[in-house]
Amino acid sequence: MGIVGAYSTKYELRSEKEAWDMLREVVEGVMKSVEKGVDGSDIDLVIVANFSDRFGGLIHTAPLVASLAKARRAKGLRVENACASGGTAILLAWTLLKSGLARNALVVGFEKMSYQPTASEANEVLSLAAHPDEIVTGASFTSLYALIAKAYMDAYGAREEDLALVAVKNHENGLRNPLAAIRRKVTVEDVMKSPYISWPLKLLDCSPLTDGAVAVILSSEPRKFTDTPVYIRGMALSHDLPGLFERPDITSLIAVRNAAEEALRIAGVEVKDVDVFEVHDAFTIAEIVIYEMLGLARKGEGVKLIREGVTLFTGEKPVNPSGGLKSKGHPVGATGIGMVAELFWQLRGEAGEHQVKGAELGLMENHGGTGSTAVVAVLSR
Amino acid sequence: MWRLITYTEQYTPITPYKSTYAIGIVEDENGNRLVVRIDSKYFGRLRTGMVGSVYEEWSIFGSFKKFVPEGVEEPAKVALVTGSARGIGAAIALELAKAGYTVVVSDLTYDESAEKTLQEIKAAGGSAIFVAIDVSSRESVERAVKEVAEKLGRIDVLVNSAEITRDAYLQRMSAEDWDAVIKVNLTGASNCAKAVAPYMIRQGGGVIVNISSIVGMVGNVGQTNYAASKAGLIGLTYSLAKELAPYGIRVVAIAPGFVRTRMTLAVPKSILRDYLRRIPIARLIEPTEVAKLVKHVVENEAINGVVIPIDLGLTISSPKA
Repeated sequence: MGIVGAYSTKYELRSEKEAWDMLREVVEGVMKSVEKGVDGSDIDLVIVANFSDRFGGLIHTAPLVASLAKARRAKGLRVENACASGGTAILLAWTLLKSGLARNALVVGFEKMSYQPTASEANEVLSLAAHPDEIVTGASFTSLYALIAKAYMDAYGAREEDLALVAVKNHENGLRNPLAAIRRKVTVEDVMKSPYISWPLKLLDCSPLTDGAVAVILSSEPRKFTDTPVYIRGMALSHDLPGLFERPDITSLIAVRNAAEEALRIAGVEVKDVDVFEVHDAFTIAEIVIYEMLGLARKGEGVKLIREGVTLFTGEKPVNPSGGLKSKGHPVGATGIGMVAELFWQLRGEAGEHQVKGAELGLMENHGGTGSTAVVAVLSR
Repeated sequence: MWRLITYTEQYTPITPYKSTYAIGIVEDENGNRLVVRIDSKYFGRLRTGMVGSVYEEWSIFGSFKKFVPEGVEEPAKVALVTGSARGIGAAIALELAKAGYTVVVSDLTYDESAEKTLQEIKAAGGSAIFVAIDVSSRESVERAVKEVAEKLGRIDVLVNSAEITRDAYLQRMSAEDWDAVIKVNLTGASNCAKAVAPYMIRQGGGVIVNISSIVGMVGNVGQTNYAASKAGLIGLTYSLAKELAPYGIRVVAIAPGFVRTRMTLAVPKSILRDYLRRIPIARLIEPTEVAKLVKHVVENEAINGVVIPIDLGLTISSPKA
């Protein structure tokens, strides 16, 4: 089972394009990206990931995408698993291809978050992905991650400056990625001086509301379409209790750990073997906790990795060379598929200025809610 | 008994709640946990491990749990009153001091009037300091507001009462006189509001009262500059009230008629007598009467984004010309 083509719009804070224009662009783009050519009649499965019709004004997008691809025989559906919608769409395509029910899948993700007039209203839409008690209490997602950050800082002595280092790294990486929404270098001082959204998280600790779309093609006969496919070696989805308050340890994202363990086991590799990571840094604190959940650091020591530069672009374990959600952007439905597209380019040596040299094994981690759904995939040439 | 195990102060309001508050997770003796909302008045004073009670609060958007921490001291509230060495400003400063506010008396310079206002406040058992502010200068305002925040720890109320008049028919008015009045009365209020807002947001709310004038609503010959500045304050009030409401900050304008102040008494007697004859209750308003209304507006949390006339019925008198 391999990925044979990928295409992404540039991620933007406020795109002039309508959601349907983005879909047209990525479908045409991904079909053209396949070296040996792909025809609409080859595609028999279409999966579209989109968080909400309030981010783009569209539902029932599978037949639209199928028609844009001229895939007249394809069956399709839209999937939603909060911010893990994209990862879930890939997992579903992978599963259906493995089962033999389909042979070639077109997987598309999109979100036009600027469809909402203000950030306050966009945050209302996003907050619906939380536990009902959290929704009625009025918690924004920034607040929920701020609860994790405060608990983490209390438990392990991390400081706001440590969290800022994640933003500094990912913005530095985003400078090298032409698809990134915010290509601007930031310093620890910039992060510290940015206004608090939910103490202790500041504006520059948060990923931006983003517009963007992305598409990949998965095939059960990849060599028919390209000589250099990228294979999904292992993939898993895991859930956690939806409410942060329901979990015994607020500073862990158990679903991420479980999905990572399973994906690595299926792939038959260990995390130390992975050369490049794309992970869900929706907030700076998330990336630090993810280090620990993936097994890159022991519990409470994720902060050491960022302090010591291990996860820098030039470090031993580069995390988010694309700029991550923080700098590249987070158009929710597109995010997980965008990570897979990024690893497709990295593992084929096509990532341009932000190419991690000699990357052979990649890992993507995409989660939704406060980690109540997590998807992890391990990919290689 | 519930114990706070983690919390965050949510400064960016989200739809549909459109207000600021803290979010926390609390735990009881049996290890049960709840997600709770905590009033923004506790901003800056929450600590992990605090204990308190949890109440069910009804809301049209769904009932939620509210946590009230125990043993948190109520801080002394601080009111900054510009142009309060004398006149309406001085009366407002005294009234708020009597109501328990620590008052910042401010004016261009510390003079005899400012000293008298401070002494009156102290004689009434109130607490006050003096800070010099030239409201027309952004630097002066920024510096003074920072000084107030450092000395008193917070700013709960801003009363924009600094004002000047430079009366003349527009045909004869100098450009300098037009500019001076707009700069002090209107730009000055905007400078002060802009400087205090970040402090009010961080402490969970506040009140801004703009002292407009009935002249800004009905006009007055010889006062185009003053009337324009006071009408401008009304637009400022409406717009700022919309912008700041989600942060728990109310903005209200008060529009007094002719108040017995040095400024009013400077109007030639014959003209003043002519004004008074047109008012249903034919007398001047006392500064303390305006001050009492300001105190009410500050304390009544349902008043927001309105202009309240206090004019003895002047606006219903006719004809206007």
